[in-house]
Amino acid sequence: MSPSSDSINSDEEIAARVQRGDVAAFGMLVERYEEKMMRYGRRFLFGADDMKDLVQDVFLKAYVNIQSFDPARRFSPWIYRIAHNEFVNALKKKSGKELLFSFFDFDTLFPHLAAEETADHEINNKELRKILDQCLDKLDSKHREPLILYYYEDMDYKAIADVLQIPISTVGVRLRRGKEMLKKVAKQLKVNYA
Amino acid sequence: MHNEHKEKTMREKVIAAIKEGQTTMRPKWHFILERTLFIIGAVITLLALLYVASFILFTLWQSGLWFAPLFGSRGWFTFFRSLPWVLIALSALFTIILEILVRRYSFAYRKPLLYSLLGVLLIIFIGGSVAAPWHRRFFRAARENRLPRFAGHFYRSFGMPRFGDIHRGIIVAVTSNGFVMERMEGSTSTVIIGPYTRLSFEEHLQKGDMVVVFGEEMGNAIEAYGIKRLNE
Repeated sequence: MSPSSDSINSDEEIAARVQRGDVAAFGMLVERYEEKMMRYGRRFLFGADDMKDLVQDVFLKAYVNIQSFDPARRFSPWIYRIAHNEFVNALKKKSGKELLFSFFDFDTLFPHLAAEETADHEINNKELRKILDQCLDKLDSKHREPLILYYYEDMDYKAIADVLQIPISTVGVRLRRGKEMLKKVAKQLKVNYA
Repeated sequence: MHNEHKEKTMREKVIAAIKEGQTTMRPKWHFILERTLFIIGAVITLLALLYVASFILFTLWQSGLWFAPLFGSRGWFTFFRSLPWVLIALSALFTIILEILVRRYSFAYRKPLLYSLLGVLLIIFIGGSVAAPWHRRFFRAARENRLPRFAGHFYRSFGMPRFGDIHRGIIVAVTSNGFVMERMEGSTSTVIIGPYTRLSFEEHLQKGDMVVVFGEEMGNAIEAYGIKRLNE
């Protein structure tokens, strides 16, 4: 398999090949997602020294469960969902307590009006990323994760909803609250926020 | 020599782990079976929920409890005291199980939980209306001892008023201050209508009317605080 054909195939096409028994094709997916998973993990699990092992486990779990993937849907939210579960478990082990990803989370109970971000916010978003880099670890994981997926992994609300398995409107609420918390933290730490 | 000490890439490590058999791909049938079991579980839970919820609606109607709130705060007290809380808790449990089973699918988790609960309530009310004639038939069969022992007891115990302040029957005679009522189980009671009795109808009661009477029974007499005619 040449590198050029690696880039021609979509993730979904490669996943379908893996499903048909092409183990080598799975290597392409590992290469495509290694950096993303490492970045996602580093920002989600601050200070985790076994990040490479965790990401390797994510890929191995993805391989084990690849037959559950529907090639008609997007591959990215599917593998991020596996990573999310793996990282949440790592957080649980680290903190030794249950996280606020509960089934009856109040945020997921009621519908919320949350407008999606538009291009007008792009300048603000650039500024926000600077603050995120400095203050992200001060937020709780419930609000940190949607911010990471939205601002660093460039996911839309629907994809984030699929990764976290929460209502689309709840994604908007957590992003808004996360940003508000971030502003407060930035103020306390005297980080410049535009 | 240099290559021997070079750290393996993630791709190499993962592929090596797969080829060495440290991990194996689950076959497609595993996921098909898993999905099928989840769907079967969800359908069974939904049917159980529909049965229990429609049975609750039936018992409310059958015992006359449904009409208790028509008679003010005392009626509301009777209503809440006499609700079949065990069945309500059971249907809440089925709702939670159903929600857990369907929550893994995007059509369920992408929408707020409230929408799912409203959907379940809608299904319960539609299903309750559809299932009501069946429950009536089973109840009749239970009273005539034509149902198996447990089912017969279940229908008789829930279909009848459970506390002493709801009475349902047919008027067999009208008296100067009330009427005599024949209950469903065959006994008769005298109902006393006083100035404090609230009636939910305009015309006079007549022999043959089916009524639900709310009030404490002392001896063979019931001092009614509310009466609802059922064949209006």
